[in-house]
Amino acid sequence: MSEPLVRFQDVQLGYGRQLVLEKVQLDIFRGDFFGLVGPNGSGKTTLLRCLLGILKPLSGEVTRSVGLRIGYVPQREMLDPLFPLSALDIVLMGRYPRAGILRSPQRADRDFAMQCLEQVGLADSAHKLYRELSGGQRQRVLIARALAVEPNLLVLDEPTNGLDLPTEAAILGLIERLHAQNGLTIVLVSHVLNVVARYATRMGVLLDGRLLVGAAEDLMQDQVLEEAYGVPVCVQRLDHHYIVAVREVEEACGDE
Amino acid sequence: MSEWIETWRSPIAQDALHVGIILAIVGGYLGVYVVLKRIVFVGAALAQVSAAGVALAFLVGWNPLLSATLFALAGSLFFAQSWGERRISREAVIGAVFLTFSALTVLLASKGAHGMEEVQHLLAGDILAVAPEEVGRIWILGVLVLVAFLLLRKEFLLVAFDAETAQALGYRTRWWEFAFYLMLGGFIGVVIHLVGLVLIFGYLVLPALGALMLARRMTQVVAVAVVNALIATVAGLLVSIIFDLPTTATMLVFMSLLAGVESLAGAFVAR
Repeated sequence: MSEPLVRFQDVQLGYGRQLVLEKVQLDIFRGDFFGLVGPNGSGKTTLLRCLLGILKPLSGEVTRSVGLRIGYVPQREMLDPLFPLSALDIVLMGRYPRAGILRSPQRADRDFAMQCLEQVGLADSAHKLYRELSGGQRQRVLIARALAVEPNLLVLDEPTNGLDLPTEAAILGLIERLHAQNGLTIVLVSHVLNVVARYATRMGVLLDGRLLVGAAEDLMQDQVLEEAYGVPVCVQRLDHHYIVAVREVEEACGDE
Repeated sequence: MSEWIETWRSPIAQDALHVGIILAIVGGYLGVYVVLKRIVFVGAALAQVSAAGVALAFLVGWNPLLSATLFALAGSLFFAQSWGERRISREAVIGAVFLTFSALTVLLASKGAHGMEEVQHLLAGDILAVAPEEVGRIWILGVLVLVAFLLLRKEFLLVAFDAETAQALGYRTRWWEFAFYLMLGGFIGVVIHLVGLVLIFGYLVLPALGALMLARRMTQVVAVAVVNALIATVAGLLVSIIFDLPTTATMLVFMSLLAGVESLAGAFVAR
């Protein structure tokens, strides 16, 4: 197998004295579609921050391959729509590190940013204000900005939060296309289990301060999810989709 | 009429105008970021911290400019800390800092040579009382802050809009935040003992408010904010001379009027 883009070796993560995750072993390989799930407060954000290089591990080692460029798509709610920025202005931010300090993005950067907007189907809205765009369009802008970094790893934090069903499907379709057609390595963080399991080739489930990594079909099991979420669940498969439901204690999985 | 024209042409009014112009440009520009970053009251608190520095300097015989700047820089360092999730809100801490340093200013000034008159000057200030030798100094500082801000504007914008992504892109956001507060605090610290807390606070808030309501692009917002501040400065100075009104208050009224009119116009256009 090829060398991983990112490797976590026996990593402990936390804030000060507070330990959030321990013994994290994780390899993100080129071409992976890795899904990270876990209940609220399980440490998804902590692991994500470490992956992005924002949080240093308390112990253990995180190695990144030479030339790794991460395109990050944050949660939309984190951004303030008060800023008078157009879609293009925001996508151009992805070019800032290339432009360097004290220099403005050049014409080539603008052209590239436009290409990124085109890739996510938003070229027509390049000059619209971010605050005037719908939730799905805003998500596309943020994906375009991540693409403007020319990444080999795309990290998305809860990209379908607050979206209606058709928009959610369109965004997930776009992410899948970027993975399949552009060969982008994807890390998708979400609390929506079936979304992650539907697209991810490998998954990580945060369970009691540890990270369990495996194939989606191995982890999408009643027992694993019950342990992670602390409630009895029922997992069923329908074509390529997983359906996860919380069940009553006495009710057996699959019963009417 | 000739009397006020004569007053307008006097070196005092001309110095005030020159100081007002640079304050308007720098304050109007920085103010856009202050409002967008939702740190309006950090500006007020920093100004109050600087005022305490001036009051202390008057009491113990230090250089007020140096003292105010040092106090403002210490305040900047404090406010540049990332707040995260704590048991009390950032707003509460800003309020506490403002109140504590307001009380400290009054206490220190009450023991100074000029007593409460000094407090009044620190609060309301008087741009007409700026000494001629200060004008050049304020211009140098203003131009330095302006050039630094213009050169680093894209980094300040990214960090203000999306600090997490900035970090993921390799920017040390804590340093960038500190650099921003350093400029803001340095600017406030240097000019506060000359023109007063209220006028500085006004420059940092009011011109940007109207601009954000009226303009739709970042560059337009900055341009409108600076023009607002310039109009209010010139008109306020002129009207205060003609009608013998307090200069700071007159300038602030013009800033408020412009903010109000532009807010209405912006709301009307948006409908």
